[in-house]
Amino acid sequence: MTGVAMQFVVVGASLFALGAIGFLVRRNLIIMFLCIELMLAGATLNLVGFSRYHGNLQGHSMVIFLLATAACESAVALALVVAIYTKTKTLDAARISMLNERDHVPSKFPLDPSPAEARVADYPESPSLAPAGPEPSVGEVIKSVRPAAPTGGRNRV
Amino acid sequence: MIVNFFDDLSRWAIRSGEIWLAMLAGVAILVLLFAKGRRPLLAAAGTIGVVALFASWFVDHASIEPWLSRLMFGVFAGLAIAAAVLMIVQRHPVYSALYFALVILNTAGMFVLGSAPFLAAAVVIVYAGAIVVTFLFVVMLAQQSGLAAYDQRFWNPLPASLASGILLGTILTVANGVYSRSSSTEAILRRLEQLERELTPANASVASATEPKLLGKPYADLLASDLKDVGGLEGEQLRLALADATTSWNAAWEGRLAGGRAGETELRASPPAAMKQATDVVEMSPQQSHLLLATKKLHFVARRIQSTRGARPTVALPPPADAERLSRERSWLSTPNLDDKSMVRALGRSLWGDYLLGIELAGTLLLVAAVGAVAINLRRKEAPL
Repeated sequence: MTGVAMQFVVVGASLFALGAIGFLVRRNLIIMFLCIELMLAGATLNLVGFSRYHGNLQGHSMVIFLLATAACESAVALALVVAIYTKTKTLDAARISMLNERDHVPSKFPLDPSPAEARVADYPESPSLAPAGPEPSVGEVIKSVRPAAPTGGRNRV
Repeated sequence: MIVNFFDDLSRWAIRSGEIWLAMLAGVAILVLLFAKGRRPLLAAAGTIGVVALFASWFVDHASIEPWLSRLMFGVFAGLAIAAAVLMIVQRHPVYSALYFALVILNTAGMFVLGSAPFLAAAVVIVYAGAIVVTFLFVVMLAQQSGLAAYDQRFWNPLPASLASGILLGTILTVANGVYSRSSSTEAILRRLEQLERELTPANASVASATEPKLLGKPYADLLASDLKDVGGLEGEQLRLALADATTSWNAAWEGRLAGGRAGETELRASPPAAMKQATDVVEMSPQQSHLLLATKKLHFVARRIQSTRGARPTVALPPPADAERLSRERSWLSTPNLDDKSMVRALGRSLWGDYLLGIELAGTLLLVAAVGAVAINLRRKEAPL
């Protein structure tokens, strides 16, 4: 039982770091979720090593819970991936940014090594919004939201 | 003193230097692998180099006794890390998923070596059997013809690799100080604490007491192997004390079933412990008090070994309020013998005893996730996004 925990920690931490790199670097949504699973696998290895080190079964129980959570996570994540694919026909994480503003795209991803034109071309559907003006006062907002409130209604401000 | 300090410091620097060298090489290899174009020869050479650097440090500082299991663990670990690297640099999603399955299979192998056979089976079934297949299914479903452009282009790999390399190096440097030294003392201390608790109430049944074994090995051998690091006069003293405590404990353990009077003389022979326990020893049977005293003695020696080796002190468990709580703690805190046969049974008892609420919550989570997965993909009439 000498030093076994350290071996598990080394391998588990390596898998975790590799998963983190993959998650940060890859652009395919499916691969990103696979990388999350890789990080979870590293965590399970660590738990088994700790369990061995302390000579009890708490780590093993944690691994069971981790497995259940990983299964839930992958089910929901893959459902989201399928839903996103049916809507956008792409799995590119850079394209899943519907709240983007077209003019601001080049500054959004400073680490993307591709040229600026290619990055702008990545977001053809992004709207070009007018620059925002001064902050409106609260009264104006209420007026603009409720132009014609029903008379005598309880919802009146 | 000062010489020792500098010795320790230089040893630490060499160790950490190896870690950080391996991290640097790993980052370089990953960046090259992420770069455009295929460089299989370079990748193979680099991977072999990193694995060798890692392995040299690994074999030096973390070793288990039987060489076969050490070799097998090394093979599993190397394959798992190599498959993980290939998984994240692989351009084709299907191959990535298959490499992930390889990682999981190797993880299961390491679980078996780490005496977790049930978890090995569970991981293979859940990950390789269910999750990877679902991933493959979705990959096939959402596969574009040929390689998609977004699989060829990555975000900038250098900062990500550097950040993760620093994280990994830091984790290993810290863990190296905590876990690389052999230690069974911690686990043995817990066993001894439990034995003491079992023996403390009057008229506790001595015959059914749990023997503090660890992985089938007697505690005394493990304590002695932990003592190998401790040199000098202090180590010599501790070795003598351990031998003394071991012989008296063995005598008490052997004599617990026989109705011998051996306990009486031993009781008088060790006055400090006997004086402390004098009040509640009175109504105990001689075998019980004898065993309890021997256990306390051994516990004391084990604690001294632990503190001498610089390990962290054990967090003492609170004394149990009643027998029900004792039996509850007993189910997971100390599985009497952590071998493969009793492992699955003990794990099941722990899960459905200590973690019953957690199990129910996990089941609920699974149910909610299933409902959610269906709800996300319900076909509704709505405007396109």
